[in-house]
Amino acid sequence: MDRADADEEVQFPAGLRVLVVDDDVTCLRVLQAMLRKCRYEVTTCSQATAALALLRESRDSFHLVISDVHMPDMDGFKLLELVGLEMDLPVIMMSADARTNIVMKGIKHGACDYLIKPVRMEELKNIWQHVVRKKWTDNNRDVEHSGSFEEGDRTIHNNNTNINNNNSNKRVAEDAEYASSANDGGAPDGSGGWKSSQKKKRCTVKEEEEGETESADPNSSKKPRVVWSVELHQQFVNAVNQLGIEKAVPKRILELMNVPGLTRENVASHLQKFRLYLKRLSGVTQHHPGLPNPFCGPVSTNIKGGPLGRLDFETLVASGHIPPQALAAFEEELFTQNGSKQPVREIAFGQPLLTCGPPTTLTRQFPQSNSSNITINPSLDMPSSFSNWPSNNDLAQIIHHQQQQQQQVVGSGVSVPQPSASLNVQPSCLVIPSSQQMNTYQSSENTILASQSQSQGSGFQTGRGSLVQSPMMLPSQSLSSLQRVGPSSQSYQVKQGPSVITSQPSISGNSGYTNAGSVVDYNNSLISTQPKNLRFGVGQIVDEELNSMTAVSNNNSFSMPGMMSGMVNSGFGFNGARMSDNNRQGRRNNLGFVGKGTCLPSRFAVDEIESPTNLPNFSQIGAGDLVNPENFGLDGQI
Amino acid sequence: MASTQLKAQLNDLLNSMFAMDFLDEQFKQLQMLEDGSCPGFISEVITIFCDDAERILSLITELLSKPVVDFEKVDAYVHQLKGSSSSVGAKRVALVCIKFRNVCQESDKEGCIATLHEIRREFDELNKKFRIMLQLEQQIQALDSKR
Repeated sequence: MDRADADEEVQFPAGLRVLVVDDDVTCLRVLQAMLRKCRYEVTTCSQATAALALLRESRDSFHLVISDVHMPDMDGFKLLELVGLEMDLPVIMMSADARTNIVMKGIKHGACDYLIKPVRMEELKNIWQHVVRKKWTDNNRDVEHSGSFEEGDRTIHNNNTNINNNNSNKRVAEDAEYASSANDGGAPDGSGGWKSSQKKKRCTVKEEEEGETESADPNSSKKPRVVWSVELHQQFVNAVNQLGIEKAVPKRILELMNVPGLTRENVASHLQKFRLYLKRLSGVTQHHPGLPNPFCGPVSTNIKGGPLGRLDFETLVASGHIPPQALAAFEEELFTQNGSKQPVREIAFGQPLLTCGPPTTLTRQFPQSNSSNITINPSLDMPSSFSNWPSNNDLAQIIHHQQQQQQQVVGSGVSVPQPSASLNVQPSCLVIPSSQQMNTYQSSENTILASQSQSQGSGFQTGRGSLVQSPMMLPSQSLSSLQRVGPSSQSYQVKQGPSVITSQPSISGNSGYTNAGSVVDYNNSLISTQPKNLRFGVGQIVDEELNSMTAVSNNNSFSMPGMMSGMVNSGFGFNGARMSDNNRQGRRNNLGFVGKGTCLPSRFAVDEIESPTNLPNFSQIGAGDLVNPENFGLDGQI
Repeated sequence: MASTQLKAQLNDLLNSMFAMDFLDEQFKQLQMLEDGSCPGFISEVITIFCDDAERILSLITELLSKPVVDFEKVDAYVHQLKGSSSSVGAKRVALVCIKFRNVCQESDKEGCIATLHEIRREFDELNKKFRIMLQLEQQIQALDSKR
C-alpha cells in the first residue's frame, strides 16, 4: 500500500459510507477498524432493527451495508431483503457460516457479496466495487429498455424488440463478465476486467446508443432516462391492474397510461422490474420461484379492478388500493416518529421508502394515529404470510394490532422498492396528480405525507416484513440479484470460499483503497482518463460543468470526494464528467442513480467535481447530459 | 531498558501463541490495524472478545444444564462465538466451536457438554495469555510514554 501516494490525494473510494450490522460486538469492532483503515466511513450497529431504522431515516447516508446473517432480532436475510427493497443499497452478507446453501441463500436474497468470517482486510478493500457495480448495472438496466433477464417475464420478452432482448441479454452477460472479471481475484488486473466489460457494454449498447464511443455505458444511450415518478408509477399500476397482471403487456399498458413521451420500451422495462419484484417478494416470502405466487393467497375479493392474476398484491397495488404514494407516505408516517416527517428522499423512481425515525421499537414507529387509517386491502403482510389476505376490516384490525405490538422491523414490511417501482402504498387519495414533475417528487411526497394521515404502513409493516410494500421491488435489488447474482453473473457472486470478494491485492479493489499505485491501476481503468471507464453508469453527471471533472479524472486522482459525490449523487459524478465529452451530445446520460434517489450532496465533492448541488437543476429534463442528482427526474423522456 | 525487556517478553509470548495456534493470521491483521490512528485497538478488541466469550460460554453452560436442551439456541451461541473468535484470530477456540456445532447438530447433549468443557479450557488458557499480553502492552506503553 503506498501510503504516501494515497495520502496525496483522496482516493476513491475513500469516504464510502458503510453501515455494518452484526450482533457480535467483537466482529463489529474489528470490521470497523478494518473499514476505517480502508478509509471508509463506518457506522456500526449491533441490532438489525436499529440499523434498518437508521437506514430508513436517512437512506442516503450510506452507500453500502454489511450485515451478519445470524442475528437475534432479525434474520440477516430479511434485513438484506428489506434494504434492497427499500433503499436499494448494495448489501454484503457476512457470516462465520460458510455452508454453500447458506451462501446461496444470501445470493438469492440479493446480497452483493457474501463474506466468510473472519473477514480480512483485503476483502473489505474491494467492497466499493459493489456500490459502483450496482449503480451502474441499475442504470444500465433502466436504460436498456427491458430486455429479458434470466427470469424475465415472458410476456415482456416476447413483446420486446430484438434489440431490447439482445441488449438485455448482452447486458446480463456483460454484467456477468464484468462482475466476474472484477471479482476474479486472480485477474491480474481488475482494470482489465473493467475495460473489457466496458467494451462489451459498449458493443451491446451500440444499438441503442448513438455512437457513444468512449464509454460503454449504456447510460449514454440517447434516450433520456425515464423517471418513474410516483404518479407515473401509479398510472402504470393502474394500467396493469386494469389489464390484469397476466395480460398486461407493455403495449397495452402504454396505451392505457397514455403518457406522452413514454415509450413501450420504458413500460416494458418497468414492467419487467415490477414483475421481478413481485416475483422476488413471493420468492422470498415463500420461496417460490417464478412469479410471485405467494401473494396469492386467498384472493381478496376487495380488490377492485382487473383480474387479480397471480399476484394479489400486485394487483392490489396496481389497482390502486395501494397507491404507490400511499406506500411512501405510509412508510413515512410509519417510521416517522410522531409526525416528524422525514425528508422525502428523492426518488425518481418508485419510492423510497420508508423513512424511519430513530431506531425505536417498531411499535413506536407506527404512528398510532395512522392505525385507523389503514385501508389497505391488499394483503398487507400479516405477520406471517403473504398469503393472508384479510378483509379490509380484518386488515385494519390487524394493522392496528400490529402497530401496537409490532416488534418486528417495521421496515420489513414496508419496503419501498426502489425508486422506479415503488408502489407506494398509500391511500389512493395520495396519488399525486401526474402533472407533477418528478422534480417535485420530493415535495409532493411531502405533501402526500402531510396530507395523508393514513398509515397504510402498518398494514404493510406487519408481518414480517412482508414486502408488501411495493410490489415493485427494488428492481435493482431483485434485478441486480438476478442479474448480478444470477447465472450469468454468478461468477462473481458465488464464491464459497472465505472471501467472496476477491481479496487479491491486485484486484482493483485495492485501488479504491488508498494506494495510489493500485488506485491508478484500477482507477485508471475506471476513471482514468477514459471516460468510458468511468462510467459508472451511475448518473453520469454530464454537464458542461462536469467537464471539469475530467481534469480530475485525468489525473487519476479522483478526488474521492468528488467521486463519492458522484457516486452518491448520481453514480459517480466522475463518470459523468468524463462522459460529458463523449456523451454529451445533447443526449441524456443516464443518471446513474436515476430514481435511486440517492443524491447526497457530495460531501466530498471536490471543487472540480460537480457536486449535485452545483449541477444545474436537472429537473428540467431533457437537458442533455444533465443529471439531477436530486431526482433523476424525467430526463426529458417524459 | 525495562521497556525493551518487556517488549521482548511480549514478542515471545505472541510468537508462542502463534506457534501453538492460539492465534492465527487474523490476529496479524488486527495487529496491522493498530497504528497511530488507532492506538490500543488490540487491547480493546481483545477485551471485548474475552468479555463476550465469557458471556456466551456462561449462557451455553446454562442452556446445557437444563433437562431439555435447546440445541438451536446453543448452536446459535456457538456460532457467534465461532465468528468472534475467528475474527480476532483465536484459532483454537474457533476450531473447537466448529466441533461444537457438529455435536449440537446431532443434538448430542453429552457431546455438547464435553465439548463445552473443552472450549472452556481453551478459552481460559487463551484468556490468561491475553491478559498477560495486555498487561505487557500496557506496561510497555507506560514506559514508552514516559520517555
